[in-house]
Amino acid sequence: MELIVQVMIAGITIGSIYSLIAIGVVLIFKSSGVINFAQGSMAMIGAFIAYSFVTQLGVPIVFSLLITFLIAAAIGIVIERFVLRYLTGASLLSIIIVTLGITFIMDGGALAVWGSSNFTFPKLFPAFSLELGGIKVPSVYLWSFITAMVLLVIFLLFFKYSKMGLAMRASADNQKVAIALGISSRKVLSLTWIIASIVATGGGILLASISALHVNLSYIGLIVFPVIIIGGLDSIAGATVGGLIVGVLEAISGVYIAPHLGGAFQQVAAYLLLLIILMVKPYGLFGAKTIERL
Amino acid sequence: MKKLFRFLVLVSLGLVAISAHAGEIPVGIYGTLTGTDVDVNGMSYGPKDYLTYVNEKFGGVMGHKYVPILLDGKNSIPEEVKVFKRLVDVDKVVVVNGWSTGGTKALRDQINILVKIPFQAQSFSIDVLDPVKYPYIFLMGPTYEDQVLIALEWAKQKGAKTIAFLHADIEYGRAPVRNAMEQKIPEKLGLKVLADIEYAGVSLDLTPQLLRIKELNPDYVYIQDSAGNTIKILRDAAKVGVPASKFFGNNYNFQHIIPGTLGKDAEGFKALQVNADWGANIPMMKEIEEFAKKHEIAKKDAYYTKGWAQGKIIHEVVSRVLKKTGGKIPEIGQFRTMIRDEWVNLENFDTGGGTPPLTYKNHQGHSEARIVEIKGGKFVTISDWIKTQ
Amino acid sequence: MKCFKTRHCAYYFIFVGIFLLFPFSLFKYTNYVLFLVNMGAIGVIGASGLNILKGYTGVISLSQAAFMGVGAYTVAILSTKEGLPFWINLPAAGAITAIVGVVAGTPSLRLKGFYLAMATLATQFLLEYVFKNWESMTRGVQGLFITPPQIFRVHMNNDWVFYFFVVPLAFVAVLCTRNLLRTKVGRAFTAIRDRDIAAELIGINVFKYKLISFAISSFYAGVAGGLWCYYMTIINPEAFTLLVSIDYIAMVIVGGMGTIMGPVYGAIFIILLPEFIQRVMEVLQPIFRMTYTFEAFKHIVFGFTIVIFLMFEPKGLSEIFSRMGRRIAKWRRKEVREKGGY
Repeated sequence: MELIVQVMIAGITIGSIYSLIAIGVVLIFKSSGVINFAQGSMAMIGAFIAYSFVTQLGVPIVFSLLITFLIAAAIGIVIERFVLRYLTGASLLSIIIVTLGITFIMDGGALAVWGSSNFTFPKLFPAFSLELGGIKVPSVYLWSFITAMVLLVIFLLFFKYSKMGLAMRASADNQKVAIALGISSRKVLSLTWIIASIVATGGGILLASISALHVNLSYIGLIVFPVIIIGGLDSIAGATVGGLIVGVLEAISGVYIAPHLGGAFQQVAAYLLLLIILMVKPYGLFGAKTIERL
Repeated sequence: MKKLFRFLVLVSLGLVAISAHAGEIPVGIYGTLTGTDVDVNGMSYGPKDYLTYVNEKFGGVMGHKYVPILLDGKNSIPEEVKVFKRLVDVDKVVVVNGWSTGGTKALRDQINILVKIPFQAQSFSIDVLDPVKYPYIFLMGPTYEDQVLIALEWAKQKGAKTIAFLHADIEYGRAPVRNAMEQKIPEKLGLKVLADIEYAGVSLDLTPQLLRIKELNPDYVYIQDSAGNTIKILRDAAKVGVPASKFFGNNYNFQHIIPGTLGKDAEGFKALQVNADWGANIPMMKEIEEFAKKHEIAKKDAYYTKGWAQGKIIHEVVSRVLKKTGGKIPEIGQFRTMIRDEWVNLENFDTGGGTPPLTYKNHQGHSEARIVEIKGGKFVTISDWIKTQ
Repeated sequence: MKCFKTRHCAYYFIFVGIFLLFPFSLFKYTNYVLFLVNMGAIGVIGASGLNILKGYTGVISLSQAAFMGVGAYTVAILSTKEGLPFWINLPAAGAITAIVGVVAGTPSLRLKGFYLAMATLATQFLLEYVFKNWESMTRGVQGLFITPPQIFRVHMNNDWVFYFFVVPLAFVAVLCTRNLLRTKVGRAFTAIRDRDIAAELIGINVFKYKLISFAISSFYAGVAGGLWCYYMTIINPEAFTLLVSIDYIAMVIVGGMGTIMGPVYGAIFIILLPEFIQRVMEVLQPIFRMTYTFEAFKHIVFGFTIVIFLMFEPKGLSEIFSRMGRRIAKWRRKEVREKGGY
């Protein structure tokens, strides 16, 4: 039985990174109804910026991280203000395509500035690892798990109790009424994107610490969609739990099921689960059912 | 409306066309400049730079300058087909330096029957190596199956009894392993294959796969994938306690980023070297350094040097053809066929140390590899050049 | 087709004439340009199908590439294993893809909007998995080689022959779409897109029509895939990935959702935009002296174009053109009136 414990631990560790990226997407959706396909690219760019400051410019780590987060926030505001503002009221699909276009721009930009090689990400985390059930879990995984949990709690409290959080939810629910009630949708949207960018950057840095740094890190933006759907688009708790579920599912199906079915079944396992869950709960495990009116 | 469109189409395409003037030799090169395997695209920058170097140092070949045209194949079959057609049709190149196995397969009729143009692919696949069926396709280096054979023979010498394969679920990953199994390479050596493990090429975490390997405990694991994924494999191997010395990678794992990123977790990892590395003490490297004085080099790695050597082959073959025609550039169809004929006749051609001497009778150049191992954070050679034939 | 007015008849004749003479007018770059046109035609067929599903029925589908793959594999298997001729294979590809489409559409019973889109995303990945692993049929990742069929003893994947075959087919596809939308089925689609709850109330069986929409759109995708297969002569799972699906969605959106000519404009735009960017950058390259960042810049420009385009004209190219058309008509009417006509 020891193997299965190890498999589950492996799943939870990678799952917590999925959760982090997913939280960013859910955040943006919760407050603006926009589904941000560019989250993966934002994570990748954030990691590269951090790399530039630490390795290429030699700035001390703490300052580098601060500056990186500031730049990430700036990028978030730029996207929100200059692009998405024009698209308020446009169809969902148009917005998706625009965020995909932003992905192209970011990926191309990263390629132009840093090139296409694999880079070694600076060691930001102390090099100890915790031995859990026979797997040496490097500290970076622990950090990502803790970060995901902390963020979960913070956001849950934020959305439920704080004024700004309520304002965001109101704005996402019905923007016109929210404006009529005096909520500045401009502030809400800007803040949302700032937070989401910072979260994405944090996820990107953790991700790059785990793998090498490469422009293809932006593919994680795709992997999080089953997470979001399973968890429900507008639920932060759902994103967190969804991430862990998907991580564990991938691990288990990789070790136990794939040898029998052949191929890389673990990749589609999450999508199968997605289909099954959606058939039973059309709004995801934790998603709220939207009431449509004629 | 549709008429307007047709007109716009013609206008926009006629905007700028690069066409070769008399006295110029256009050479077409394409590779993955953006896309999944960008990290090895030094192989496409190499030939372009070498031909530029020849232009600058020697004024071209017998007074005719090369026009190397480098396009992006994006590692996608329709894109590679498109750039091939552009190079052949619009730019009227005399040689094409291609890229992927899939693209080469899709173009097999174009290359060998319809257009008849010599084509040097970056593939190491046995599916495109056929001097009879595909007389215009040339490869350089041992096929992936040859590489598996070399690695497994070495493993056998070290007393191994069981092995496992690890690769991605794409053609590059699966086909060579399949071929090796069908040719019964492990069986003939008396090695038992415990598992053939696949993972998705874009996976971020391979811990479950490594846990399986830990359970099965083979003596060696052959990785049919490139450095990007190998880094993940070795990283996760360290997590579960499988030593890197059990792993053997193909030629695309001879990249310094592996020990650079993993440090001591990569100690003992072995890979195959099929051509000289960047910075080796060979005459070819001196040429590259001379070029580097005035130009910026895109990728300083063993793939760039492979590309450079490929550029040398193209230049050598074209020179021989022009010597035969007394310096006159023949009509394009004839030129292409003459280049191909000279290519097949290349024997023991010296690339200045970049590769073992190249002979193209069977369109392969050479089928040798050297085994290298990571010791003390760097790759060191632990064997001689091993031939497979 | 009935010619209502003599002027329209003249347009059709001119149009057919241009179509026939076009390849002969390209002196230097024939094969390359024809290649682009042919890929564009395949794109038109695929995008028209997606337009029916998205533009007219309001379903976001991310699996169009996988459906094309089903069509391509059907054609490949039928022609290599059974040796059937193309005029059986292509419709068969459409039919089988339609069946797969209906199965893939069953989640639409309970799902809407983005969740339904994600279900189609799941379909895309599941079908990719099948392509890669159902080796007895598809030969897995190594793919299948096809010998293209011969029309009048010339291979179909000859750029000229294919042009004369596929462009009329694209035309037929667009025409069928137009006619479809004039029928009861088409009107049901638009009703579902606009207000599906209301549609249900007035008696339209939403689920049934959604399935029909999936079927028809998949039929188009299957035929497009089959044509692609004959043209490329080799197919493998890597040709039908999510990126291709996204390309098709871009075609539908940029061209104009819910319009008949939208897919045509969109397909042409998406196929030609990279060429245009390439040419422009080749001109600019010596000026800006960027060599290794060249390719990356093309990526950026592509993304920018899509973003700027959608920011300023979310209704797509067809909206731009109809506006132009309306302005021209208004101007002409004004001219006629000033000259004392009507």
